[in-house]
Amino acid sequence: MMREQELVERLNARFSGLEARVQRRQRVIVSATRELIPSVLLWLKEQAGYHQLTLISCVDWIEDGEFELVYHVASHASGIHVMVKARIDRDQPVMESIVPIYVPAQPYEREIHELFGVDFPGNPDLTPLYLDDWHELPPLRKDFDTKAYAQRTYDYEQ
Amino acid sequence: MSNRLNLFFGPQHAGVSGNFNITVTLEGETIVGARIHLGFLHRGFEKMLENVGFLQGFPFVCRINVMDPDHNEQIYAMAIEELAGIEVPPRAHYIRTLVLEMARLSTHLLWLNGMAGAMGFYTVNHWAMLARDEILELFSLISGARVYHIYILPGGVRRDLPDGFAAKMTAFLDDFEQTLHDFDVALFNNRVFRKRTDGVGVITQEEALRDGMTGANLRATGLARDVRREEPYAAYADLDFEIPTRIEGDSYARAMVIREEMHQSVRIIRQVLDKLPDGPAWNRTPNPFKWNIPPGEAYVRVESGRGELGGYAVTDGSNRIRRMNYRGPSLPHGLVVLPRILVGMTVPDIAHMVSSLNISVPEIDR
Repeated sequence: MMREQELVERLNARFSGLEARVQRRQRVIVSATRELIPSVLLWLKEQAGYHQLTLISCVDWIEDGEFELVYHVASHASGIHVMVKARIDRDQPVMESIVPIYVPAQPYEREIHELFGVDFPGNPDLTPLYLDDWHELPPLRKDFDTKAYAQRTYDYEQ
Repeated sequence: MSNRLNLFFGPQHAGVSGNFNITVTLEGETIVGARIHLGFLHRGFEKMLENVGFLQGFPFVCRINVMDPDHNEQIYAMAIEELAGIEVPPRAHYIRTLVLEMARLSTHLLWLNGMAGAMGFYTVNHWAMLARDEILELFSLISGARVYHIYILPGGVRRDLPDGFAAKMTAFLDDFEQTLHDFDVALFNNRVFRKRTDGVGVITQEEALRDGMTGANLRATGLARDVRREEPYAAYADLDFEIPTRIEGDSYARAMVIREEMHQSVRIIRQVLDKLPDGPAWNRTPNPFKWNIPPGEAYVRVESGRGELGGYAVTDGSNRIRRMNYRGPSLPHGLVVLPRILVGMTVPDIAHMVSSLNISVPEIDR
């Protein structure tokens, strides 16, 4: 837990307005504001050796009116997996693209754009990845009703 | 440019590599651009997981990767165990390791089937399929099913190993070691295969790290990175195995890393059978209809046959999972690396590269 604690202290000293904590062995969670995300990720990559962007997740917190974006980055040297999180407004979901920092962010942002409707200005290609001619709500939003959609779209008899 | 031609490749390719469409732009024989089109296999599993109970999710998650289903079950079970605080008995850890290594062998053999098929080595193609089929038969002894086992559950495995399983497994492994040697003679040391793969599709370690590559594709560039070593799960911390690496980063290096991994899997399975502890194989979990998991989040990861497979799970205290996001190794391999590496190649290289990068399309599409 030494290396995890050290990373948390470095992060808390370097940035104001974020809260970093050790979740468990090899896991660090950083809660930041959306404006801080690119600089935190750039610092993690350039100054701390977190070269691998593992995943970008989006969680719909419909009761708070917010989306939570979770950037997963990992370091080979330390074996630690860091989750950098920020909440954005659900009605105006816009987040600066991090493609200039991490190349694999491109398909992940494209996926979130399609499935949650979050806009990523700066991403070169946000065309739909999976769904053809989709005119409904982005399907992974909590207010998209899978059952009602299936009944409406396909022949359905009880 | 008037002499450019757009060629639609797929989605139905004869090999196991199909199921997505690559639009390649050609200038004469040379590929100058490639674009991947997905969606032919999109089943919306992540959404469906949010609509069912925790145990009901298992028949969905194994289908995320058709070739390597057990690692997806392991991820889902590990996430639920971490969030609900469930202990796994030692025997179950060993049985899981056995199942996961059998899954690794079977997915590597399917890769071999595709790779050999893409180059016209149809004999090796059939040998690989035959060996895989024997593993599927062993799987059906354990779980009652050949392809989708739904065998790993939170708290352990669904049932203990059947009587006499160790002898059958050992007999297969003895036979399989001979088959591995046959693969060497017929394919890996074959001059035609060497000429076709040496120096083709070279990826440097720098590029591999930049593009988020993991698994055998990364290890073929000289970096011994493996989740089984970096963050041991199941029983891997107690077992002795090597992480094979190569430094060339080309198609041949990737093939040889996978070939050597099959050998390591055999070693691991033999150790598991030797060391298998006694005790229960499953810790009872609560009534699945009244099972609420306290709010929390967890990222869990395993080394699947293709690289780091991860799962980000969020719970909110209800009896449904709030979000389960799968991180498949094939997404960066297929959507970042493949279009880049195809530029400058020719059309016959496309099937070769899809196989060489070991891309699993259902895992990307989910």
